[in-house]
Amino acid sequence: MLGEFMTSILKYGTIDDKILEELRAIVGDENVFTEPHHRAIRASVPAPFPLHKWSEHTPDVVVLPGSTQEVSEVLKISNKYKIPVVPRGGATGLADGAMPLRKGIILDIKRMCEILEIDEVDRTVTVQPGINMQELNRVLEKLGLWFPDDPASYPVAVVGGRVGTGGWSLVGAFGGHVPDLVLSMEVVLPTGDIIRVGNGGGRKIRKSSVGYRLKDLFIGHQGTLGVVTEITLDVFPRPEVEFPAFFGYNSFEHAYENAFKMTTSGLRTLGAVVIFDEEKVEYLRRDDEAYIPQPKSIKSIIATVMYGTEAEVEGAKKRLFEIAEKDGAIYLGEELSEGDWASRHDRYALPLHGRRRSDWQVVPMTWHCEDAAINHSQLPYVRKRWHEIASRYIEQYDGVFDDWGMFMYSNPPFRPWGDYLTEIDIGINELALDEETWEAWVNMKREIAEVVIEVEGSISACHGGTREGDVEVCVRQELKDGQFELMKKIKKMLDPNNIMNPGKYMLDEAYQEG
Amino acid sequence: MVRHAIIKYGHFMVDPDDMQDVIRQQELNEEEIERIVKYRWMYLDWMHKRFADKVVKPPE
Amino acid sequence: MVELLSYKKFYDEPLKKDEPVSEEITKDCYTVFACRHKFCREVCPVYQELRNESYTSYGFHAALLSVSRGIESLGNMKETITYCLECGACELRCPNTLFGGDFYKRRTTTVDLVRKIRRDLIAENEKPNNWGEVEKKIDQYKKYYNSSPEEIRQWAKDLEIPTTGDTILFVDYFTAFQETVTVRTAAQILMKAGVKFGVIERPGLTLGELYETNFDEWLAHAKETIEALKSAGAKTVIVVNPHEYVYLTREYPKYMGSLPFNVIFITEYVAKLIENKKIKLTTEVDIKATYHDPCALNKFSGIWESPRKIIESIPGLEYTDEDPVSQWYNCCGNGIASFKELHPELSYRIGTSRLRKAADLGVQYLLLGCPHCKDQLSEVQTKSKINVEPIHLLEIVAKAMGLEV
Repeated sequence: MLGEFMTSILKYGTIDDKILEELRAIVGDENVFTEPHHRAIRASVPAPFPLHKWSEHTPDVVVLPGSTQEVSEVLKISNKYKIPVVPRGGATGLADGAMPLRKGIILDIKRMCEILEIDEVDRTVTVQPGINMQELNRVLEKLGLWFPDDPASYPVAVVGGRVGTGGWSLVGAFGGHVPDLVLSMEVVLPTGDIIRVGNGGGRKIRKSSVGYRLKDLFIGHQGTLGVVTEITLDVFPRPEVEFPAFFGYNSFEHAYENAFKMTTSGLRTLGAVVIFDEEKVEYLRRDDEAYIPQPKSIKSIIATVMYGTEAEVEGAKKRLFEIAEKDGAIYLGEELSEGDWASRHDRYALPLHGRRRSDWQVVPMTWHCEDAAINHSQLPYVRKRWHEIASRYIEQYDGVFDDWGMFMYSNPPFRPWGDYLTEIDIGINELALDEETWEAWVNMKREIAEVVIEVEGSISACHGGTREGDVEVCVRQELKDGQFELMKKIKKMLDPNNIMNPGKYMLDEAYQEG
Repeated sequence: MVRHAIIKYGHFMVDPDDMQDVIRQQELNEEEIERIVKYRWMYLDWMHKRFADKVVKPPE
Repeated sequence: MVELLSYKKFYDEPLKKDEPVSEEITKDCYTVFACRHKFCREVCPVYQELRNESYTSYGFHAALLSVSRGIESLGNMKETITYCLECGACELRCPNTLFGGDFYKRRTTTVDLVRKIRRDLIAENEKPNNWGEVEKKIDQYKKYYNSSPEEIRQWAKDLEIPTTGDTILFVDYFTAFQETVTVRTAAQILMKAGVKFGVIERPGLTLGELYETNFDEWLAHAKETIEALKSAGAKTVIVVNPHEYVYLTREYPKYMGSLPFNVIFITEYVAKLIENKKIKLTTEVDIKATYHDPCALNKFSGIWESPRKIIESIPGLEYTDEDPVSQWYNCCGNGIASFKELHPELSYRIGTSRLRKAADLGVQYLLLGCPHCKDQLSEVQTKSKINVEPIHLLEIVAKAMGLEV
């Protein structure tokens, strides 16, 4: 609805042969694609996608730039002809950041994937945005270094997308999250101007009080304010040891209480404390070789992991076990702990995990991952409400939606206490989507988001509040105390023609008023 | 109605009855299944090594 | 008996330009699209060069899904679908295979899908650029096939190998006519170890290019090969070319059932001979080397231990390993079928990346287990002058045995 309304008031140019020629002149013929399948495969990200409206999100042209200069030139063209541009990094985000809402150009930055500099003395690495973290660490590990960003998409996501979404790391309580690890960046603004933002003016400085904190503006902006083309990152010493330990509990409440003690223990090597609720454990028992044989009495799980020097972890692991065992937790063994930790990127969201409840048939489904930031005190309430909401929709649309349980990750940056990335995983059979079921999905999403506002959380800890269903709640409720108003002013100032990822975060409204 | 996984070739497998209506199983023989399992363990071992020099064991 | 069967029969039903994509194919593509995490991507050697996600497992499945939804027409995929080496990395790394294939008895089969789409497009007369090169290659191999028995055995003319026996060394036309050193070395190693073996007079064509253009003709050749091996009395067939090993252990059983003989790859056989002291490695080979896992062995067949065992038993050799999982990311750039003919420059780029990785380890030699890798990387080395020499590991075995090859 909003889309239709806005399209009527915003006039964008049409990409004709002349514009295509200009784009080809900038990036080369071989890096401009117009055939439908090249465009169609870049319409979606892993967030639930309205497959029945695929064409509406299919961009007009795909452009693969190779340098900052090329990005700048493409944005100048876009500005000149008023063509929407959507930057696309790894396109592994679980919100819709890289999904075009107004067609236009997909600026796929994955060709820009060089490591520009490794500084072993001042402990930084400078990269282009298209490099993947696993590849970066393959190079860094030879020097005893480590970039500690570890999202579920670690083997394939790229640094630029991590910055654009304000990404979150599974081991962030130990190594921080993306916003904590970016020291400075080169950014191409929507006008094509190239600027550098950092902590003050230093490229490799970690803390400065000079100027505004403009760097933060370009972290998590979902491609609405420009394109990052070079990033200087903090690097850590490669950990000497890793220690994953999974514990079983007889109820969610049992695990929840023990998690509080773990997260507030003061153990600095704790990289993550993750609660698996009862529905999640049931879900894993469907088809996961590690969980099927677990005794029925185990209804909830806490996964922990430690990183650090051997001396630190050797001491800390004893303390962790004392905290667990004192509360009656059951250690689930080395094979499960090590195996499951190492499968953390892969195992939990296979399409064939979907089931139709009525007859238990396997239904291929995609994975929606809620990722709200919720404080410890509110977790039981949110859990109860979210499962209630999901059950209601599943009952009505069995075989289209499925509840895959909840994870609660306690890892704010460099500390494991306080708010948790709280996710309810919903399976969605996109092949079965139509107007009615898509609307049902958006409504489910909205209800889930409203619970977050009710408990004063944030709708997204790491993916972004840009999904249909979320976005209205984000803008109208979560950011209502002046934040959205200021966002609109900033957007309009930096992007006078609204070319950068237009429609995202409902920022079209900035142009409507002026 | 939650059915149980079955055990075949010493591994857990989906109950074939659960893959009849929407999506079906393919031909996949025991050697190929064993190969996947073996590769998975290799991969998991490899993934640990990407994050630290070694994995420490639980306390006694 | 080695038989690695992974078969989706519904792939046999051809896709046609003006007909809807079947429901089974649609669901198959959706099962990859539904993931969209794209763990298939960074592991792909083509993607590593071009960084274009159209040319990945996700890209191919999503593109065909867009055809099924009427967004794209099948014919438009004809160039895109050529950007695949068929190395198998993506379908192995896909969580649907690696983390769920065994449980669900259903896995991602990108290489089969790519072959199928290529074949169906050719049947619809949708030929990609450079297709003439592929046709030329098929013609060349048909000439090899129609050569006289003496010409086919030219590589072994002084070796006096019988044409029958319990044990047959399988020699395909690529190793008989082009990269002859590998198979000759293999034969000499086996002879020195006292293995009695034969080589059949005229095998059928095994050519990957034929497999993905004219399935019926390829299958007729496959049947001929099996008949020839059977009538030669084969109980054990030793294979030197990993591509042939894949055809014999994975592809032929799909269409012909279990083969009536045991198939063993040369490194498995030689490693046993070394273990049983039938092969004595006495001459020091003072070189620094690493090993390249051929895709057909490492990603398709589960063979990575025997080549390393052999290498580690060579006296004097200083070995630096790159582990097999890290090598899922590697390929020599040749590909299993038509890739090199269609994309010679890209093939060269992938080859140079592979040689550079080896050079970064500070070695002099890159040991190989596949004659196609040897052919490809030797060519790349000559052109690029990267300071690492590709050599088949059997040649090093022969040296350590004191053989003049």
